[in-house]
Amino acid sequence: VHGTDDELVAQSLDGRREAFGELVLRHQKMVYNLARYMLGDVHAAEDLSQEAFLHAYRALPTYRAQGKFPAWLRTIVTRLCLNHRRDARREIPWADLSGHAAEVADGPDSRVGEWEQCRQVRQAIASLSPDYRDVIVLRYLEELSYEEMARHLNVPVSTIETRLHRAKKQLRQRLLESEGRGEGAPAGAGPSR
Amino acid sequence: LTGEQTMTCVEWEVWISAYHDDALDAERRRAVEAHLAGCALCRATSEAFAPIGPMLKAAMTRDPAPETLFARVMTQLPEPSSRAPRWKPVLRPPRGWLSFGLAPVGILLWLLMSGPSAPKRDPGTTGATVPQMTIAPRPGAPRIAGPAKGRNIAPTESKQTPLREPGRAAPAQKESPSNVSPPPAPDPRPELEPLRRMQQRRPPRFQDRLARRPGVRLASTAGGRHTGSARRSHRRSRSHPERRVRPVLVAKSPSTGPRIQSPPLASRQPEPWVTVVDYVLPQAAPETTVGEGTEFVLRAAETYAVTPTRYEY
Repeated sequence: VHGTDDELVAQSLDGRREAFGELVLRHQKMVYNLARYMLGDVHAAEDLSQEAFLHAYRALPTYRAQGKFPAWLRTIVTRLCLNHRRDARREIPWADLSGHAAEVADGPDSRVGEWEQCRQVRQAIASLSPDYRDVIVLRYLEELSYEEMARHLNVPVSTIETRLHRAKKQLRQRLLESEGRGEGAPAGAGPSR
Repeated sequence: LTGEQTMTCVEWEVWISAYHDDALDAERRRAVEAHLAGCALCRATSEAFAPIGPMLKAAMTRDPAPETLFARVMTQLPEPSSRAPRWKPVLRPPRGWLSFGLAPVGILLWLLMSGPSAPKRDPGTTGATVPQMTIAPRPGAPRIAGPAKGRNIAPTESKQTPLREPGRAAPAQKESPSNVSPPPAPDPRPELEPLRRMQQRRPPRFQDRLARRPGVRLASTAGGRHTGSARRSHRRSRSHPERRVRPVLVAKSPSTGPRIQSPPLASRQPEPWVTVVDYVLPQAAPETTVGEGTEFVLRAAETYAVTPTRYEY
């Protein structure tokens, strides 16, 4: 099975399950990581990824073939994450975003510091409120524009600007606090004002 | 920019943050650069924010998806057959023969009229006592363009010769086990010949679709259901009886035949069945000339099961 995403969608609509399987293989990494960063839990992310693909499969007839299947799929994931998080019972503190220990064990010393820095940044992201976390994830993981983020989150662009600014401000503050506790200074945290 | 002169440094910070994300339009970008040139405090803020973005991009890496995710998704996908009708209405009636309009009704009337003149089969050949052939509509069925409910359409001869699937032996009577059904008759029933001709004139595309869809029935005898747009149109028509003009279908060629089908010989369907479709020109355009692309409106469509004992739908 090969072809563009739109061609695979058309084949899926003809009943070829393997075509949709190819779409899953292509985009499962994006879907899973977006869900993982937005939800902060690997198990919930896997469940939601499965739900997102099934939702997409059922909604394929509504997809307009414009070569934007990843964006369409990302919208589904984002909205499912927001719905998932609205349920207070499902709110899970971030605990799984510190990276894999294997990266440290296998890497050279230089990568240990690198990994430690990433771990601190991820912890700082995890400490943000969900609204701030969402804009950080969509901007720096998915690299969406402010307008695209506004559409995904259904808020004005000015709200995105404000949230991103405040999120970055909080992140910087928490990284500086980590530095003050002697946990190592992440490069780029910058001097305190 | 409006209000730019009255903005405080805290308000400028929002723009400075977006400035480092390259998310400002040209006008606001110039304004930020002009403000940074004259404000030391905001320059310090800008320098502090500058490395945040690259640092976040470096830290937010993508891990591989779980190996079980693909299998979980694929095992949960619904079967294609259950979703195909919703995605692609392949079961809707083929359009090529729609321009016949009331021709199927004429076919049915022809069956009524030709019954008495049908050649009488040799009772010794079949050895079966032939029951009466009637039309028995299913309760609750929509209005049809066929014979009246429960009307006896079989002449005297048809009592001796039940209408059945071509090539199939007549059922032996339980009361007379000595009667043996003959092998499939090489000489088909003459009264079924029009149906066979019509069947052969089905559009090829329709047949191809049927061949690609194993298990898909183009019309249902069980339950008297209609398929595709015809069935949906009935639902809509019944819910809005005052609006009878529901589906608008396009006739491709007036030379194709009506929808008269019977299952293949290898099918498990014990009965042949006939679908009578009644399409008329819209009343809004009575002057329309029938031809390529002429639009017709479905008025009624019914499927009759042709059994040795009766017509039933």
